[in-house]
Amino acid sequence: MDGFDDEEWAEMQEMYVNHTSKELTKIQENIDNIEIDSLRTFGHNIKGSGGMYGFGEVTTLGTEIEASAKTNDRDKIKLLLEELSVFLKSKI
Amino acid sequence: MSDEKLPNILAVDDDFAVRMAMDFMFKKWPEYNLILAEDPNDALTKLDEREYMMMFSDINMPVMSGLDLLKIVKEKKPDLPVVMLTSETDIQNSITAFRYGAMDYLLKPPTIATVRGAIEKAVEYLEEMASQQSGAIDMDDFKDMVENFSPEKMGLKDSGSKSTEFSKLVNILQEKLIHPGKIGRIHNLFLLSKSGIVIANLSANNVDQTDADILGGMFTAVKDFMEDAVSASTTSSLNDIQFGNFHVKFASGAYSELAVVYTGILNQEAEDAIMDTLIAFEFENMKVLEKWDGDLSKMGNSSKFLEELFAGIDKEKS
Repeated sequence: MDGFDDEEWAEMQEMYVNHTSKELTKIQENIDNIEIDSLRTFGHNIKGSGGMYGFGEVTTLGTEIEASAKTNDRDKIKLLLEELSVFLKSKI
Repeated sequence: MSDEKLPNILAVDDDFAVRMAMDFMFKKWPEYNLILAEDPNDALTKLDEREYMMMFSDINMPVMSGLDLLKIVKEKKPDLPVVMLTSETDIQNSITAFRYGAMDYLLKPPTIATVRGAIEKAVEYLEEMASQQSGAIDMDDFKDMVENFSPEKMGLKDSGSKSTEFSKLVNILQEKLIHPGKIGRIHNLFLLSKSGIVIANLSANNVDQTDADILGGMFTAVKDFMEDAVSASTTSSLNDIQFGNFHVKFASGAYSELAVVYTGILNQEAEDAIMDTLIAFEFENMKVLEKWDGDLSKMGNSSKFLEELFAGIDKEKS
């Protein structure tokens, strides 16, 4: 993000990846019991925040998760969450 | 870190990532004390705990939306500048936010520049509020002035002449119409009958119906007067009258007028949109307008025309 130096930016990205990874783990562990609206909110949030931290891939996945939640497609969401997990692990 | 001597700024967002970004930003601005809230209830609790200079709030939050929070906050603290954050491009949310008293809105993701800009607007807004409160003129004075508004009574027959009353009038119009936090944009739209009755109005700030009715009469009087006594722009197809730092642009139809209060510059596209809006409104309501007796219930949904116009111009300028 404009206005932050490299060190600040790296710190922010690291914190974002760690936080999002923890959230993701919680969701994946309880995926069948989580309300669809909570999944939509998660998708919506990472859609907005991914780009903010320089992760366009997260924004794309967030958009797809939100859209899949709107059509109640849990199977698709599971696949997208797995993709997100792989991506985040590659950044740790 | 919290320092009670510094101006407090509250930021509410259910998304940790946004709160974290705000936290990083404010580390660069030690002159402000950022307090974070993770949901509207948390924000309301924190608002009761201390005084705040301004508030940032997300719109899309579970349980209670940012718009509902804004409504509650403005009832409790009407002077608190509130800036809404939204990833939605839906302009309707922004219009609703302005109606509820928001100072401005920022599209997500917020950046250092946009957040800093919003803080600076809030500072200007608070300074403007303070100066207005020290020189406020009450509505009774305003009504008297509107009723007695004429070039002769005000001694303004000669082009370009000034008077204390005229300056006072300009100050009132500024006070009532201009939202200091929204420089360079549309502030108010008034759809008026030729006799000055307000058919509909849409405002970026809070103009209640009584004020709107008075302002409707005011516009008609000002327009008639300015056309005769003071130089007004004749280069445009629309009449554009400047008062200090703001303009009132009038589009004239067969039965009605559309007054647009704005600051900055309106381009040709915006001017066309204003005229098109008036034509569309008159076309849809032609039969009623031909024999209109002032009964608003006979008119269709005239607000929609203003909302679409506001959305079109505001989006274009964003």
